[in-house]
Amino acid sequence: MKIKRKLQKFKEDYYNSIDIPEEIDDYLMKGVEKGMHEKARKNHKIKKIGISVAASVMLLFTVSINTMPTFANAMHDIPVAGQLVRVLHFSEEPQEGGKITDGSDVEFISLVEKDDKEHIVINFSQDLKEEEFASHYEIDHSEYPHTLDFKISGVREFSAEDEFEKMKDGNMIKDIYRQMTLDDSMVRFSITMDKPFSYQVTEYKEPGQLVVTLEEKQESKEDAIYSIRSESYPHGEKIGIVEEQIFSLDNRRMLKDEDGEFLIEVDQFNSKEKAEEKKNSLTEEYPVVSDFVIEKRGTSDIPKNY
Amino acid sequence: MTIELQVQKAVKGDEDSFVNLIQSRKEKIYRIAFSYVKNKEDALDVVQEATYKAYISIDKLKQPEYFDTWLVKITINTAVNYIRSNKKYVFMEENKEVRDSQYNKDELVEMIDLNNALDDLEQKYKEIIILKSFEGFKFKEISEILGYPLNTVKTKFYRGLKKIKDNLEGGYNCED
Repeated sequence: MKIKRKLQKFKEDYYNSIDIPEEIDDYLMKGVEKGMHEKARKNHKIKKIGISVAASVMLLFTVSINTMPTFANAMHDIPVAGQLVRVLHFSEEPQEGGKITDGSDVEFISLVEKDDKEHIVINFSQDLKEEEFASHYEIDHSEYPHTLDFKISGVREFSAEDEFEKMKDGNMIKDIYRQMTLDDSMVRFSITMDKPFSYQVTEYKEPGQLVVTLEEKQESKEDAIYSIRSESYPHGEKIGIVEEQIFSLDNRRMLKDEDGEFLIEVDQFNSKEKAEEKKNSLTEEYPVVSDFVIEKRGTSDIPKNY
Repeated sequence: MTIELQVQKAVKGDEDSFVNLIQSRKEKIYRIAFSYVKNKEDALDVVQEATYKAYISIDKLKQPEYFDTWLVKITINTAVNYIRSNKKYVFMEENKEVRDSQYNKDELVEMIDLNNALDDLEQKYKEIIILKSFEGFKFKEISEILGYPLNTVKTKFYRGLKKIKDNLEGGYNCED
């Protein structure tokens, strides 16, 4: 049969001549090394089945971290199975921690309500197994509107996204959404709150877990701000490219507007004049900013769709 | 040392045996990975990840004689997951060997046509043709690797061949 002969020739002349890169051995060894680490980890891992919540609350007191007792008390009923790694304070922003990994899955996110506080619990896995440590995270909060931004690195999957609808049942959570991220080893998502809030991050290991405890703060009268922001784009590559163009601007953030589209905000100012001034000075360095608009927003206002 | 003995040692946790085995199979797994992701960088990533997965799960390999099918199965699953989780477009790389080859123009055109015809095939046909015609696996082994019933593998293989034939006879491929 002719086609089989053709394939045979193709195999000899083409398929078998696919260049095998010289660096393949490095990659093989990296794979083996990663496997060795994994095995060593497994062998030294003492199985802790169902360490009681009471014990983990005890840990909160025994580990010498200056935790606020109110938070410790609130830890009852929270499905924590691991050991405490660190407690991060509201004042240190962005709050970071976790371990640098690759290929993890932000597997599950849930909301536990207790004592007028809401706890966001995040679990990690790799190949359907629980991760020993939380993946590297950065958590930051911002205002206008009240937002908590999560940036989690070394993850390639985001199964927890399926739980987003459920999260909106919380008293304080108005919205939760994933941000477009062009880096495929990073996941970013944001939570928009109805009211001002304070929060605390508690990180656990074995299994890796993050608990973000939210608490309402007294509302103080704040003036509106003037934001320099891009037009709105649907969730997709375009918004990612706009963000790349102003990548070096540290204050930038991605927000969802009232119609569910996305925008990049560069900065916020108290007066319109200041905002205009800044916008003009940025335009030279970042031509894309010339298309940006200035928007006035109050503390809880969701950006409009421009 | 026979392959089977090496596999047995690797299953028991002997690292050197595992490294030797994977070394001797690297071209095979690289080509298979490459045929899925179609470029060098991604293929290398897939090879690394498949090596890691093979290393941590080799103790579960019950029958040493299935080492090859088991390894290829891991490689294919890794490649498919890689494409899925990166949601990347797959970019073709030209094969320099062929481009700079000593073939005459007609042979070259024929080969490029065949390559395009293969690429036009749905994945389920293409992977079977690669495993059977290029990697020399038996139908039974392919059924083991891909998890299809034996008869399905045979049907798909012959259907795939027919599709290639129709494609080649069906005139020009619009790609360059």
